[in-house]
Amino acid sequence: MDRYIERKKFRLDPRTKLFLIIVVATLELVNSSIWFTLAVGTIPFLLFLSNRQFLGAFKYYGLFLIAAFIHVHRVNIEVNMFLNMIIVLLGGLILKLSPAFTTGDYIIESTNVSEVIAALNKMKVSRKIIIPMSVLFRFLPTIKQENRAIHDAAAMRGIIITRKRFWENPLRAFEYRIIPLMISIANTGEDLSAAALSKGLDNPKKHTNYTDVRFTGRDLFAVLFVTLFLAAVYLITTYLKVK
Amino acid sequence: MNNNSNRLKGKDLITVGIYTALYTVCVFITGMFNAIPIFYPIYMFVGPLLMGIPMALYYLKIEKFGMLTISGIIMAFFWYIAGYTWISVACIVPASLLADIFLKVIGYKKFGAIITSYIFFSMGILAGPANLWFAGAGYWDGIRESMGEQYASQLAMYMPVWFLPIAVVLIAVGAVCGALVGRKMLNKHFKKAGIV
Repeated sequence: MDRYIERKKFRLDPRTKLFLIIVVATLELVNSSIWFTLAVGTIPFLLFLSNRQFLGAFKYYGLFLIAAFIHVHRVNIEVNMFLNMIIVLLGGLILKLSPAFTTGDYIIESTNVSEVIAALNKMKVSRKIIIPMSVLFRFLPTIKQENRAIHDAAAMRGIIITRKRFWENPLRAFEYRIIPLMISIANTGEDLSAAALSKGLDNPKKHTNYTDVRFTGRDLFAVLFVTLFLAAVYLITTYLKVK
Repeated sequence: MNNNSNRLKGKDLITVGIYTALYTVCVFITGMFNAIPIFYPIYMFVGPLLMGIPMALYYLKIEKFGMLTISGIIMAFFWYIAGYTWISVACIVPASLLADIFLKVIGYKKFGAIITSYIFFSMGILAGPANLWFAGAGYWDGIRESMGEQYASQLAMYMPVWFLPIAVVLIAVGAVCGALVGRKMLNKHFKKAGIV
């Protein structure tokens, strides 16, 4: 069963994913032609597809293409000044930030914690960084989940941002949101450290790991594809001087 | 084995991970408001004020040297990914290291030490504006290109270079208020819930 799932998904080594997110995060800010930005923004879309997150992939890519469209036509938009600023600003934010965030989302969705640990171990990263990092990755979905549950509870009492009762006392409402979240996170944290200690986290001997992480043909393909694709788009756009 | 009591154990490292996650999420959510230029200077005060609540809980668990520094290193990594350049790394890591040193020198779990340390730790959020000031004209071109002329000119108006000392003072004041709010929240909620 496991092998069946493994084959269906295009599974990459965590180190390759790290390389990809650094490439995307660095290059999306490079001030270049719109085609190059589009090419960079296509990478997270393909990654999403490879992880079979189809809905997320099309949501992201649709938003990204709209932002690119606004960016190209931003000089022609002539509505009132304030609205114009908001639209151009949102478009710019999505265009420049969403590729890296989406790649990050893909990494969190597609990688399990033991894979991350195995990969970082192979990269000879100190345990003092590995453990907090893996806890952090384990915790981001938990924070999201808890926050949604608290949001539902708050909605039932009418203290969410779209209701009137929220604005009667916004600070109080903020307090009601953040305090339960922190209490539940502190409690989960206690449980997590108890569990980790009973599994022998503090054992000074070298830890073994069941998960096997190694570079495969898929990693080679992904790295080569991304490098060649971006280089080709960059060279062609500079050569043709497309703006 | 006795001299090992000051070394970081698994439990401490897990604590670092949890509270760094919480802090990072809070910073990025509240930082979204910086999309509107007028919020940029205000954030220098409001950011440390709001972050005081999670950090108050974090400071209660810190008993060893190095925890804040590791938090800083991990956060710097995320800031780099989020599109702030190496300047953000050069901002956050020393800030958290200083916070760690002050906490150790004055004494763990003392309120004076927490305030001092939190002031330095909060200086890490200078990472955002520091890019505007020190990354040079290319960074401004990037903003003008992506965010539009209006945003860039407004940002330049609200965040001139001479704003740096004011920002430092704002952060310090915000951090002191944040520490006080955090302590109040601890007493009000967390003692009752049996967390502390």
